[in-house]
Amino acid sequence: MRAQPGSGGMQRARALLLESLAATIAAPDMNAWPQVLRAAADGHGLVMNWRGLLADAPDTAAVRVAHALEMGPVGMQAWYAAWPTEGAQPPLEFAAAAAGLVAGREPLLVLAAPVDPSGGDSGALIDGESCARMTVAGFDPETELRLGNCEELLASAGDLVNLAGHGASGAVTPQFLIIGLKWHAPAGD
Amino acid sequence: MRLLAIEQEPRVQALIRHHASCRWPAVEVVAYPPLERGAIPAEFLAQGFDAVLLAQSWPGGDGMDWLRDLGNRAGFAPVVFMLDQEDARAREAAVGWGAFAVVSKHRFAHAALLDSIEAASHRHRLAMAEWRVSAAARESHRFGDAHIPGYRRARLLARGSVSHLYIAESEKAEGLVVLKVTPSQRDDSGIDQSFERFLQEYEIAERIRHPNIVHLHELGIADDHAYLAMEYFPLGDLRRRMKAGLSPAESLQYAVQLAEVLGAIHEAGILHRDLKPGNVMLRTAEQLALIDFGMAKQAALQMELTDKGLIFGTPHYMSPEQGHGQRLDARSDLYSLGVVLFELLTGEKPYRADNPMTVLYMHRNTPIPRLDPRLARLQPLMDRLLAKEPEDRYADAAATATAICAARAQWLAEANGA
Repeated sequence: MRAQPGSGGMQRARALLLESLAATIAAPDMNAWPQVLRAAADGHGLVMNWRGLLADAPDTAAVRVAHALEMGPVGMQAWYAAWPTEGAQPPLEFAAAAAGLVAGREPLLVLAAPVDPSGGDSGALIDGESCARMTVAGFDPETELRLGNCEELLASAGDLVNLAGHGASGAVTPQFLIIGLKWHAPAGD
Repeated sequence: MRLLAIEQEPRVQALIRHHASCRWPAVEVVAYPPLERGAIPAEFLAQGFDAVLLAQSWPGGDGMDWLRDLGNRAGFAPVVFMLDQEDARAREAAVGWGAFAVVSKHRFAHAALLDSIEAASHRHRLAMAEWRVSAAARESHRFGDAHIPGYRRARLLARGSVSHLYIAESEKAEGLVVLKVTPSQRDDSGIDQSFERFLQEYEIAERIRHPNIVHLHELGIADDHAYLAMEYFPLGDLRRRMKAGLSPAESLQYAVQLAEVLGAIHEAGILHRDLKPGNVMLRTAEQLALIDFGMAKQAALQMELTDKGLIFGTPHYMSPEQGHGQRLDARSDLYSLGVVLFELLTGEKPYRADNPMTVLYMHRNTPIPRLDPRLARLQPLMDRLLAKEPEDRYADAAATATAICAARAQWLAEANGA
């Protein structure tokens, strides 16, 4: 096989975020999340900064997260959110918006997912190439985002994370985990 | 999971790879850009792949035509056809021509693509499992008397006195390979000379990593036979290319590549000793690859051959000293390069006669032929390359490459100025 330049690194970065999510879901309670995430980041020689609650709506939260990643050091940053879910899929709205914000920024990845079933069974893991993949897959990201077609849009880029059957329900308010990763310093730094 | 993606657009290849890696992290997606790679060889059945993804179109190409061809090949891996846009009639036609599944590249649906690939892979694995235990499979692994698992015989390419050449499909390599199979022939001392030669050829090509040298995949033994699996060149050799006609600039460019690869070989202390157009293959229209190191020898071992009074090589391309069983050095190969360049430029060999001995005599005694007047400015170069005495030739391959490069640059400059 002819390996694609950088594809191995991106695979590892994606695997790290998915492993971190799995570890968080398995954690006994929310208080353990920072510790679990630090251990996951540490395993890859990365620092993890726990940022606490994201109180904004998903599209605004996406701006906050993308900015924090852009300005922050190499490593992981994590937040949690408690978005309402009636008739909406907030982590997907968040991820679709974030995809547009980190477009072209190769070292940045963002994962947003529910940690218990009350938040739905879909999350998303986007990166700097997500928008390009959506375009190649025949979707216009801005239009689809405006139409609220986030699930199909993220699926077209291969960025949807299926969490069917994950975790134990019981939370009064659905909890969402958001992890940002700056995988390495951008070229030229 | 191993996929072959017949798709010209690198961004779509990357998209396929990304999607597939979501479900199969270790997926191997081999890109086959049709414009660069050309038509899929008739013998290729993609049996080493779980599925083949085929684009509906690319600039100047029609995937539906390819599907008609591939769909007619018994045993070809399942094809997932990728429409440019959703189109019910095209979808129906693709299924009619044998597509296992059809997906649309416009508004790409992740699950539909992966489910199609998974189903195709499942069917292919079942079919392959059935096929592997069949009599047909056993027969397809048969190369003459040798049974070589892991390779499916496509056809016999050439039958030689010491080895037979087959085109085969490898389960490990990306596609077709040339399989060189030799019978076990032990001499009085119990040494299998053919195997020794194979081993030498493999070691030389492995040792000299150079872009203009054939890739060897495997040296193995099956039953009482040794075999060598090597790169297959669908574009054929330099003889075929010459028939299509070559400009002087193209000829000189090819000669530069040959000088460079000879430099790499000589630097490793090896002489090729059998440089000729039939041993020079076209990897692409621009890139050559040297094959057949069966005649190559460590420079230090030359006397062993002359002591026995044996002459190896092809008379038309032999240096005067090689033709007369004298001690050889790198300049002998460079003389052969001169003969090849002469033929590339003129379409003819410099010395022709009815019998090989006369040709050998002419290499030593007949004056160097004159080039056609329109090529006259290349005559000084040719005179150095084809000099009768080694000391009158260029000192080494690097000097030869430099001289040919300079001649080419001058030729192009004058052609552009004219």
